[in-house]
Amino acid sequence: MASNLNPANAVTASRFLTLPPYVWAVDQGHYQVACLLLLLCGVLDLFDGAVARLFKCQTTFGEVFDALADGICYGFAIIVLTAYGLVPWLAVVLIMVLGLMNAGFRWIYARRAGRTTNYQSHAMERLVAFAAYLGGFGTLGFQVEFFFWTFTGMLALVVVHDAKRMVIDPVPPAAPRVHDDLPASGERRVERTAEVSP
Amino acid sequence: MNLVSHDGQMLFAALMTGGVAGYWAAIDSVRLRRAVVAYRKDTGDRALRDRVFGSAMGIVIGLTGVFGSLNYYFW
Repeated sequence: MASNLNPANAVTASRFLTLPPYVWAVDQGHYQVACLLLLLCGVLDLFDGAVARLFKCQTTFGEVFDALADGICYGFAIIVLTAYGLVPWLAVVLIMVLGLMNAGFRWIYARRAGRTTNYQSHAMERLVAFAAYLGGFGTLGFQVEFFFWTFTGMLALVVVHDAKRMVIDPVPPAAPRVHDDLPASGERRVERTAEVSP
Repeated sequence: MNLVSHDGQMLFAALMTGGVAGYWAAIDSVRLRRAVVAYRKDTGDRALRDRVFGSAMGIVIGLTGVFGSLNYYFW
């Protein structure tokens, strides 16, 4: 079994090093530098997966750590921007409330399903990817109101949709997970991991 | 400390956003077509319905990004 102290997790952990200078740059009004630091954080996110494949050190902890680092880095950036009044605070509060509601529905679904695997929401996966860009929009002051409020609206729609699936609809039996990305060979990769939350 | 002018900063943001969002919408259009074809064969499959919804949301997100970029310059 691969150790958790591996190059891929080191790259993931190094993403946290961009946060203190990010706060400094926002505090000093150096928004372009702050945006570059966010971009560096995003590039390291792409890089850690490549390192894991190169050194063959993929671990379950690494996957969780990567998702956790995403949430901490981008969430931290949005909170910093809110504290400095650069993004609409009401939209940020609504996003957090909707995120907590979604986590609650996932907990209910996990209890109903009687297993630790969770509901795979394709729509929420796309919204989470979009959320990574919100910090960049806020930092550069690019269409901030438009993107934050459209994101909040779409998040509300997806949470309502997923709530029906997780709380009301019958729980399906565990099934193999099919990645719906576009492999070059035209064939789909199938993992025996059942449904996994993003 | 400005690395580029304000106009350059906004152009960079618009190109990055519009480019990624346009690509995103195109990819999800292909995914939606595949998901709809699969869903028509088995309309009772809720997981397939979720994939259709997810891809439709992906297209909406992509179009939102493209519109947001164009909106800055043209409207």
